Amino acid sequence: MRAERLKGHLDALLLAVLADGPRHGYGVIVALREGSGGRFDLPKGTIYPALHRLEQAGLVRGTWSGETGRQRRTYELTTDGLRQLRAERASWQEFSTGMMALLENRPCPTT
Amino acid sequence: MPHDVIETYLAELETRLPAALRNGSAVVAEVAGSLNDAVEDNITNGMSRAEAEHAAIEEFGSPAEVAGEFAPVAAAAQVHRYGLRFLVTGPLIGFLWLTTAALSSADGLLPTTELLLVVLTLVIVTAAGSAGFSVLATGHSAHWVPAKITSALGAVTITARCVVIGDLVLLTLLALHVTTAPGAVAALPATAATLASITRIALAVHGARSLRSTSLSLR
Repeated sequence: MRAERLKGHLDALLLAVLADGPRHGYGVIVALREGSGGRFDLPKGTIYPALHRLEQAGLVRGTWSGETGRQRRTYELTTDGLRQLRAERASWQEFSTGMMALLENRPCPTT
Repeated sequence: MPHDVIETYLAELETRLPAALRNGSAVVAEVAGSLNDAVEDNITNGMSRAEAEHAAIEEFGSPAEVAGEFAPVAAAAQVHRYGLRFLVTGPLIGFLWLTTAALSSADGLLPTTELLLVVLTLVIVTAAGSAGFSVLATGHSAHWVPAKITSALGAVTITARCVVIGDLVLLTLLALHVTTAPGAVAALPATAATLASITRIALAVHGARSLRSTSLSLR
């Protein structure tokens, strides 16, 4: 899938892959690729600025760790991040329900 | 030299990262870790080291692209820093000027003083509001105050300009008062307030220039 198409959803995707627990930057990249069955393979350089932006917004927390002998920055969801992820899921659910109803020409369930 | 390609990439990234990004070397260290992980993964998947390094860099994007993605992050951090500085120094300098006013005599005040005080009030309200917005829009509360980085940058630039106008008005008021009634001004707090305002004007002018260059880098 084209990277430009994913960019608007990158924040939600990053929050989602961190929902299972803390990951370092490369772990986030791998989780995005594997979690989407290889469909979401963004330029890896775009992931780090996005993680830093989420950290600025208080949605993720980054800490340095050196467990494997190599210094890595590990990211985890904050309480606000978890709340934001729930809101993103609900919003996406509503969006996709409407889109699928229109694309498949079937009645849209009322909310 | 097996790591030349990666090292060249990291060196170029470091020079291209925005100057406003205070933790540039930490970002480079983080990217270095990620590239090394990618190289190891590629080698595990059957590539030679040279192929693995080239593939890792290719997948990461060019240093210019990565540095460009960091521009809004750096701008937000810079806006937040300036906004906080203005929010913290505002009440402190205000306290110095209020102390000066309280300890000085009102004898000899000119009618123009009232007009200047009205201007000052408007400037303070605008400066505080725009500084507050810029801090909220770029800090941990950013998800509650969704705003484009350019809006936050514009707001803190307005604060910097208001700060200069406000301090110039205060210094003008003091100069008028000293001229018309030299003995009526409390010298010690007036000196402290004057020095504080001059320092803040210098900070605001430097800040406005720096923010302008950041604004241009976002275009």
